[in-house]
Amino acid sequence: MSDLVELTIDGKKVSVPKGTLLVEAAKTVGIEIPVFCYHEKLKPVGACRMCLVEIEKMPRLQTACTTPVGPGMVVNTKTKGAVDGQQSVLELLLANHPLDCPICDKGGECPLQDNSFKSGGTTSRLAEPKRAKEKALPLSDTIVLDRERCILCYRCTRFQEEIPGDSAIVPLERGGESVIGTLTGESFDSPFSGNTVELCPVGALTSRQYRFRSRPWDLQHVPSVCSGCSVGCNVRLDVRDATILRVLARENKAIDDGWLCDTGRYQSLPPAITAAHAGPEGKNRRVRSPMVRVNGTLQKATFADAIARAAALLRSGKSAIALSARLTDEACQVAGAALRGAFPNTAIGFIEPVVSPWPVQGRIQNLAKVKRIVDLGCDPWHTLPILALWLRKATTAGAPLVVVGPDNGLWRDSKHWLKVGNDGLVAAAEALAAALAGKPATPEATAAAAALKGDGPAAVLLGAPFAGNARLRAAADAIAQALGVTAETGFRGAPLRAFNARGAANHAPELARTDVLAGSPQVVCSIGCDAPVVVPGGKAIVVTSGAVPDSAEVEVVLPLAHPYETTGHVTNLDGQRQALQAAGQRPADVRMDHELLQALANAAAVPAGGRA
Amino acid sequence: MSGAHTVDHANRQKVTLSAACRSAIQAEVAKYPKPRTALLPSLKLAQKEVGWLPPEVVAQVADLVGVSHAQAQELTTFYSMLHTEPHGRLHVEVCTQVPCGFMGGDRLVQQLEQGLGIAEGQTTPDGGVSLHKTVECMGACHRAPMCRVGDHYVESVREPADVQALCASLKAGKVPATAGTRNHDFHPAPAPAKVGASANYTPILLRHQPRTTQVSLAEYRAGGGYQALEKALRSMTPDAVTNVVKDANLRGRGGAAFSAGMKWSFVPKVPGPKYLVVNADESEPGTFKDRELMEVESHMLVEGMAIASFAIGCNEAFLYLRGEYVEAGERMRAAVAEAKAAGLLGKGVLGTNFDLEIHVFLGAGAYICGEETALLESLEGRRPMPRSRPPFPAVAGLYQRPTVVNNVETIVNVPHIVQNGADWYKAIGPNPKSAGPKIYCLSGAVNRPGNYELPLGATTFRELIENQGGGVRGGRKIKGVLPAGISAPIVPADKLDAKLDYEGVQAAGSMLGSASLIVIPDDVDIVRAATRMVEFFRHESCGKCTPCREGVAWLHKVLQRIEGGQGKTEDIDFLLSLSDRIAGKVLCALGDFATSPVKATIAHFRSEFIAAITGGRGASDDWSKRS
Amino acid sequence: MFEELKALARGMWTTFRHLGRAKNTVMYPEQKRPVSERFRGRHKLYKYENGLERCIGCHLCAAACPSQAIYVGAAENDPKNPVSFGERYAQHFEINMLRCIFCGFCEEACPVEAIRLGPEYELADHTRESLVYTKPMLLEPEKFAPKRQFHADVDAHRGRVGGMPAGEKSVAGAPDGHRDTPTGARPSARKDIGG
Repeated sequence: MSDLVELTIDGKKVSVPKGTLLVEAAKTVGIEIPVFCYHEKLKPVGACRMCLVEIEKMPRLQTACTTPVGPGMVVNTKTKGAVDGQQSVLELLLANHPLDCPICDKGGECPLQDNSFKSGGTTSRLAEPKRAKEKALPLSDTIVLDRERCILCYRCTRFQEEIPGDSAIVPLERGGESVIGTLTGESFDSPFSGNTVELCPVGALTSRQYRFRSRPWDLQHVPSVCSGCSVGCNVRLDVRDATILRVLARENKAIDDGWLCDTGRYQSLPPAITAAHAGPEGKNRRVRSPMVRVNGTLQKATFADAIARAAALLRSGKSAIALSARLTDEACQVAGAALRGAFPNTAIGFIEPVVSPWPVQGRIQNLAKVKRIVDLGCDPWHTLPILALWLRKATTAGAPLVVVGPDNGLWRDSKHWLKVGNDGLVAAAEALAAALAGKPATPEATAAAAALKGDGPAAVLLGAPFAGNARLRAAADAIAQALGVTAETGFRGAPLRAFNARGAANHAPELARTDVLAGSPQVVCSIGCDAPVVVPGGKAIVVTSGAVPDSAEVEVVLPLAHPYETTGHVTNLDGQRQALQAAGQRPADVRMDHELLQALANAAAVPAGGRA
Repeated sequence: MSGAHTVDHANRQKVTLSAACRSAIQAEVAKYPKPRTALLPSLKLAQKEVGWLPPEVVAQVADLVGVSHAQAQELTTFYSMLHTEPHGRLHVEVCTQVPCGFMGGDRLVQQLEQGLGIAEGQTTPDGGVSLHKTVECMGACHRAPMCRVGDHYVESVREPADVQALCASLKAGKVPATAGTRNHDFHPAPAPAKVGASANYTPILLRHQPRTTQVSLAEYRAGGGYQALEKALRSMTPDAVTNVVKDANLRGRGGAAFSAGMKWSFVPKVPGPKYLVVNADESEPGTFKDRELMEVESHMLVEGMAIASFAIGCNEAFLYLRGEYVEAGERMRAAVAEAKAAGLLGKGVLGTNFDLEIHVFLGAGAYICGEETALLESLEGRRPMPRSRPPFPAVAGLYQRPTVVNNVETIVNVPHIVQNGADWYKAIGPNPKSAGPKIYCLSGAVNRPGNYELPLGATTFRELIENQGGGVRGGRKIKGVLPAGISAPIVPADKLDAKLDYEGVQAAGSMLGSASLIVIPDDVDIVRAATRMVEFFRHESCGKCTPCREGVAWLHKVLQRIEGGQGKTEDIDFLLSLSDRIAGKVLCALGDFATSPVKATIAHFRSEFIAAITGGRGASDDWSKRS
Repeated sequence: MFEELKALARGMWTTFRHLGRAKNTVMYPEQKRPVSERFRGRHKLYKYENGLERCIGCHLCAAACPSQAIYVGAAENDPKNPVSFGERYAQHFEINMLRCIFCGFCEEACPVEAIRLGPEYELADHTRESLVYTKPMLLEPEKFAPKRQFHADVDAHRGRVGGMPAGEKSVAGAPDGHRDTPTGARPSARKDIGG
């Protein structure tokens, strides 16, 4: 190919596309040039100087992360000069780096440790006191900063500036006194802050959730899917013994591009699940064993007894089973078939919408390449955060974004913001549709339509809470048509937030109703819902991975495995089916959703009054 | 910069900016191609009103400009002139860098401490005066010792009576009365009867010396000013202008000495905006030429900027001055306004279809902004850290657009070249390859410090010091001369017959750079001087790259130990080894320059280091006794 | 036949020769052989002189252990009531003495000289659970470890050369039998040893 460049690195012949950076070119022949500030997803800055290499005919050492390949270049990473460069940088970094390895969470997965062993010197010449800075400074509820450990690679600040674009943390002060931080008195406020903990090559930015919980070599890594929303970002669950301790990103170039939002990182894993050495069951502890109300109090019971009681209750009167949209595909299949068959007189359905009124078409990854975007009240920044990062790929490449609606996290990146309240959404959307069709409209809409001129792939997003409005959908249709949105290259839809809404709609379409509680049932069984459904004066069966509910109406409590403790499949908002893998060791009676529903269905086969 | 974090933010009355300040900030935002450029000027406007920058004010400025709160704080904590703590109503900063330090600066600090009754770093109990020493150099080395009181320079504070008058003024809460910003117009008298190289040379640039008042538009025009601009616009093409500058071999006067015309020719001919940025950051200790050029020959700079903009196709130019040059900034603003009113700037310059706006932009105290890519970052409202190159500014500079960055002195040569031609210019000075006039800043222990314009290469160190400088003060011997401020290796006394041009100084083992000559007398302990110089670099390091950030601080710590008498014999070779770990491995030249004071002083004066270490004596002179 | 008797007598004389000689037998348990300075017996977690625990919960001992006998669970120090010096301490610290091979790698790995192996080797017990030593048993063995391990001369032995660095005193002091658990001590995991 004509745009391949040939060069030599450490004596090995390399042939890579023009524009490839030396660091990446070296990787193709198995040479790992040590780096700190360089990261494939961030713009290279050449700040840390760790990757200094010798290039023939250039008098000074060059940083491999900022130097693109040149034809005939001869690069050396192991000569005396290059090694001196690497050792110099490490000596200087370690000069003021505190001797924190024993108490630092990064130990064992620390690039500074690794590079020091591989490329550093063996003695310290420091005879001066090390520089002291603030340690264990809480930047937010989830992140702690140790300013002494920071090697000022600026990965965190560059990430915040380039990827989410909110510049939530920055370098402060100057020179050797430089530290990372925010405005005095403000916290590190960004829905993506947790990514900086993964990016940080030392233990400067650490997670409060995971603080001191384990060492990396004690962890088992389990691949799964984030249960925070319907985007379906891939995650890696880290488990020590029986407990899931943290959720990390696992790159899927088609869904998350290697990032994970804070909801996924910190909130999708409830403290009750991660609590080490779980103590006695208290108010906020998860349910660990089935419970049945006996003589007015909830008492532990066997699984069989509890299931039998639940089945009996459901057959005893007007009953309903309310399913959450967080159940796996397999559970939905069981619910749609076996469960329905087992309880023909029970209203069974999802408690939340699982079918979008304006269905999603197109793939998430298309969002990176679109050339025109319209957001009608969707606000992915707050509801489906990783989608916002995809949209920013397009906007930072120049794609105009028109936002219609109230506060929207992407306002910074919008070319035009038709700022209206929720009730003004329809009118504004219709105005935009009219302007795009060349008809007269408000000046703002006309200006916005003008900005959207052009061709190329496009995206239209509609906020799911508003998608029930037919006029709004019609306007969205018109806008999508005017922009020429196609499923192959673009994206359109009102994505639902619930974790497995699409899987639920695919595998139990008959249960896609929002009126499951409409017939005033006396007995309600809620399965996996965030809040247990309790009918005053009635009876409730609660299947939950959360805490024991304390209402008097609760008759049966069955513990449910959290999605991270479940093996099964889920389907994300653009239709990709992905596997969940159970991590950690849940207590014996905490059942996976499809097992539990199958058991419930089986229990119904026993005649009333009989034993299971 | 932040101080000792002593402000109790929880129990403090919060401040809201006035409506007038807010609209001033909005006006500032509207001025520039990108709003973020207004961030630094807006923070300064807010600080002017409030006296300092508490967090809630920083947040208000951030919201008005459209950046995150953290981004505004990023600048607030980086620049020396932005304060995150309140200080006295009169904020006094005394320069103690080389040469001021040993020319009375350290002594002035002590005298003010006694006169005001507070220690350095403190504020008087009534909140009236705060006293600080700086290692920053304020571009007044020829009028040492000096201090800044707020934005005002108080220079040549030599006699006890001067100190008393200053103290009295400060205690009364008054900024010392000044003509302009100075209370002493100690300008060197012209050299008696042209001697040596100046015998046959009439200055072209500093043609009105000795003079401190501004040359008005009328006066400038009467002397032939703006004829070159007229010639360029009416009878030359942009390329022709570039070529004549290239042919004239005009080398950049900011220190890098790169051919200006060649730099202009690197600008690609692409559609879209291109920018000219003139670097008036002049923060190298020992340098004060651009200051005099801007304060006096303001219109020469305006004309030069206009011609250069025409040559490269720029319609919006920036003059970036260091924040301390308030007076120069005001005079340049006035000159730009004068020129615009006369149709020499603005839309349709001189009735042609060439438009040009000039922004006069002040920094806020950061030497690194003299590095061209850091300057561009500062102009963009970002933390001023140098960029990796390539790409070079000519291709991707301000706002990633093609940009030419030139020094003030380079630009003021341009009208003369255009008016008189390349051959005329090349005939100035003995070397046509490095031709033209050069302003030499002479300071330190000479009788007549000041700016001296001579043809490049027409004189030697010794001749300049004797003829123009009037010889060494007190008849003392010279220990060495720093030729390019503190950034180049010291030239020892036995090499002072080297020619003062780029090649001559290189042959003497150093660099001419910006030609800021600091004369160090033999009774200055070089260990203390080296420590003070490295302190400068430590203070000014931006912190981006590891070797400079960590290494220069380490160098300084070791030097301080030696200076204080706690040195060890192995320290000397360690300093050299550490310098080698820094130089050549850093992102920009600051790191390289920081090692010059170490390597060169040890190379030429190792015995002084050994003496400082042996017997725990430390540096042998007390600068607070010097004047 | 006389030859055989002579041979027999010679053999028996070899045996009887030893009757009067000094015996090498050590009458354990009434007599116990003194152990060397560097003897690697039961572990103990040490404190500083000011009472703060040395252990900072770093897991290096667990990582170094070839038998994976050590479990460490770290936690954050309450600044008003710190357990150890610094941010981190070991909230849980257990050694499975049945897995331990008494190699001393944990002592070598420890960066703060918290865990050290001592002279006690009388560790036999009846159940597997009782041989998983918990933190109180390792930190304050005189209170929480099984009685029989308590050598009268343990810390006096340690106070001499070897074992503890010169000048260091054991906080536990001289043994004087079991005491009631003072208020404020960590609750013993062993209810049966009446500590």
